[in-house]
Amino acid sequence: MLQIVFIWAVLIGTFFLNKKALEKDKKVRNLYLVSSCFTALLAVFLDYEIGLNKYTEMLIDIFGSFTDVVIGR
Amino acid sequence: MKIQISQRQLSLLTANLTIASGLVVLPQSLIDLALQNTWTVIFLLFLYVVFLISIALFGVGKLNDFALKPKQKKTKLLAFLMVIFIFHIIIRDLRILTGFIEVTLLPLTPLFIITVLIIGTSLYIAWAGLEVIARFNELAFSLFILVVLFIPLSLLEKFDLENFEPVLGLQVIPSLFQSSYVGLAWMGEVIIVFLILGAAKSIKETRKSMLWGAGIGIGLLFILIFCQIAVLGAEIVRYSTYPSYTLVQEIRLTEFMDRLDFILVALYFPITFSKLAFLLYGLNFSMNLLFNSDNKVTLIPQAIAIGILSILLFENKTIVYEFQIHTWASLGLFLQLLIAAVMFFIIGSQKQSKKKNKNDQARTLN
Repeated sequence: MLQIVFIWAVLIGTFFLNKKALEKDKKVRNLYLVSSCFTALLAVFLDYEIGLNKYTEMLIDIFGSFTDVVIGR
Repeated sequence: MKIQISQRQLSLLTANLTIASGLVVLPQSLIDLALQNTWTVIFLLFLYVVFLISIALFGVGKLNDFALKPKQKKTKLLAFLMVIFIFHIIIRDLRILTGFIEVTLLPLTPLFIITVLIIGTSLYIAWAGLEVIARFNELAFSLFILVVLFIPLSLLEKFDLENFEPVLGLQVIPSLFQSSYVGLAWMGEVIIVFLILGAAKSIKETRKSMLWGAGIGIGLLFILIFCQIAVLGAEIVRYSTYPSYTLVQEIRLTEFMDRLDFILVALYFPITFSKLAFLLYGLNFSMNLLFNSDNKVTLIPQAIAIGILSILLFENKTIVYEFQIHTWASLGLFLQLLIAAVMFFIIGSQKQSKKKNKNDQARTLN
């Protein structure tokens, strides 16, 4: 839980510290909000130990197997 | 005001990209395949970097200036490929670094805390911009060169040249190529410097500066690998998790200075911070190119997300090892060849537009 609070606090704090710059440009504000929401969601994943190892496994299956063929393993 | 970095800073950034994280784990995997002949693999790696830079920067000397135009489709493609490329490098490097710290320096500290500290430090440097990253790297890398040069001098009496026997032979050629295949993607990371070509003082000299930088970085890696084989022997290094650290632990200048490894590791860390800062800067720069934006505020959520993903994407140390050595060898190579090809076309189109402008000017004068 402490991890979520820490990450969310950093994101919210950054928003308020850069409020002027974010209000000036709508595009930048939207980019910031989207990336912050994504990061906040990842923080939840981290706390509940929801690994995203399927992606890594997929890469290992495709590219790792190719390397194994090349290096003769 | 236009951001500008010197040719020396560009060279040292290139050098940093070749060695900063590679020296922690790469010697083990190279030596595992080529054993006592690994020192020759370094020359093949350098040839690959020369090939990559020469292809990607073909004709760059004919340009007067260089700038990536965000509205061009080729630039968008380059930015997209760079985002994928840099993202994978950062999560891999972070995991290598946190793993190293966890095993050797702070075994009781949670992985999350170590990740936050590394991300925080790198973000602080990246936030200051390219010029600060380049200056910091110049300072840190100069110290690092002295550290690496100090290692063979202090270990000279422990060198055992029998460790290099049997020397080469026709039967070892396949193993040399297999070993160099693992290292190609690590050395090819120098292509991230393409993003900041426009900031270099002289665009005509960039190819030369990058080659010098790659030469310095790969040269330092050669010294480390040579020392590891000479002092520890290939059979020990191939089963060692962190061979460079094991090598440094062998240094004993006097009876009371037996923990010199901590000092040397402390001098090594700044270059990893400058590499991560440069990668974060490059990621944000590519994102800005992709979304036609110019800001650094989004750097903070991006950096935190990468820190979290470096923990979430790798469930255990076996997956980390499998990814950093076997997967990255092919994935990295595939991405960097694509990036080099796109860069070749971008420079080609800039050359053409320069030619067109020249012809237009000549026609107007006539």
